[in-house]
Amino acid sequence: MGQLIVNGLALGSIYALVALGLLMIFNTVQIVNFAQGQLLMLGAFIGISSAVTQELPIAIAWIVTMAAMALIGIVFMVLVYLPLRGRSPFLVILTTISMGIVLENLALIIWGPLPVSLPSPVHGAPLRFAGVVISMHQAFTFATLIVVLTLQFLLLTRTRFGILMQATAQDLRTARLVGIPVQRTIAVAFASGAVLSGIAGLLVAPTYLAEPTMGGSLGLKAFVVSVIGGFGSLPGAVIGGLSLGLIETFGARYISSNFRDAYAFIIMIGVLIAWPRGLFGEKTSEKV
Amino acid sequence: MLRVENLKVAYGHIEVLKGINFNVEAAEIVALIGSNGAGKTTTLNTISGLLRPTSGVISWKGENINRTPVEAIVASGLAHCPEGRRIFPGLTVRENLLSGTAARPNNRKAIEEDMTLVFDLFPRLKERIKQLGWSLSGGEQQMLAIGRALMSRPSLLMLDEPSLGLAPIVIDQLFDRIVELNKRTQLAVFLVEQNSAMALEIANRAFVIETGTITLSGPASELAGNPRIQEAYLGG
Repeated sequence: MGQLIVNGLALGSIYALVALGLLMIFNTVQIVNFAQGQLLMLGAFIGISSAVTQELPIAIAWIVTMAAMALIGIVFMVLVYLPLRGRSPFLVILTTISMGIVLENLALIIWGPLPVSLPSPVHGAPLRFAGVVISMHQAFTFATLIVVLTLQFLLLTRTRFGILMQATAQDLRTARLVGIPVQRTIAVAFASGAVLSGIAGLLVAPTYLAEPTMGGSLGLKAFVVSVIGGFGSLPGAVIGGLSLGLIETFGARYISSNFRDAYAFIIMIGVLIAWPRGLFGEKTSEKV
Repeated sequence: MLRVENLKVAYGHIEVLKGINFNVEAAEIVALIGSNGAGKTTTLNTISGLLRPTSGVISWKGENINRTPVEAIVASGLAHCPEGRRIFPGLTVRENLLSGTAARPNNRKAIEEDMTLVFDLFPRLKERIKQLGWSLSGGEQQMLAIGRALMSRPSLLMLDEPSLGLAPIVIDQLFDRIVELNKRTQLAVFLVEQNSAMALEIANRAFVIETGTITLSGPASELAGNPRIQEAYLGG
């Protein structure tokens, strides 16, 4: 039981990280990026290329990956968002889906179809108490989530730049009018959203292996997590992510592991019926 | 200080401004009055850089700003308080005011000082400091929109229909504040209004715009007495 909770939370931390990346972009341009899972996959493979192929120390590989992801986030913005700015959000969302397919096939060409592993940045004997085993990698995953959440919370609510990002999301035209350099806030949003996905990829690869098609279901689950938690809400993304990890782990153990991927969507439908705005419905929807 | 020469603006093939000329000098209150669809908001949006002119010159502090990026125009001291207030609904009063400082250096102390000045002008905002924008009344939202524009430290404040949808008593108070601000800080105000009576009462000079052309101009007191204005805009 205790072991299931630990495993569920470790898996849930990954979902939460991808959802936080999704939120970063959504909170600035009000677009759901359906290629977020593919960005995660890129993060995992760039990590593997640097740490395994190039044999860089794992800490350096992390830094290289995060820098590369920031750059990829900006390229993503230039290719997907900028040409369609001001058009229907639906169009942009469709484009993110197709971009995800392109990225997946690009990864197949570059890295091939076989699953590969990435070493964890932490080593050592697992922590044990009361019969529950927490691997160092699981502990590191929790710690990463807490650090990311804290930094993101401080950025969005305690800095002027974070306030300007929120303003950009709520009313792009007025944001320009009051002098917000919207181009810059949007670029930072895409860059940091991609970096968060990349971090999730670096954390997934040691446990679950990396392959080009790994992104699809993870991206969709991050979307489910955001719907459950309430789009645009930081606590919603984290609590939604952790709950989904727990539900999947417990469902696989006590109900059936064949339906592992279905639980997310069943829960999402349930939440949408009971709380259409998610558990922590966003405040910005209250337009006057 | 602000000089608009032969300004033409079109939406596609439809010309909305057909070559207008006017100027606003330091410490003045200038009103632009006209009915719906005459081109008042288009004029403001073009000056602040949201729209670009098809021809003509917008000169601000001696420089042509026809193609200057919006944030650079704000940074140079030209603030635009838009029609319908447009405050950020999901940000608090404080955060809304902070958003107005986007184009200036992030100097915490100077920003706090300016926020105090805004609260002195509109004490109601201070009472509501932690409330979200959408929860404010119309009058409070207008105060907040003006406060947000003031946070950019403008030398010219452009107000687009500040009286829209407000009760007469609230409009009176608001206009008193605007005059007070202008007297005390020498802030120039360019006031765009459908409520011509109020606008002409506080303005030094005024222009009348009709379907994209300026048809009358002069001292506000003179225009208020003009029979054509009285008939068309002041209800006889």
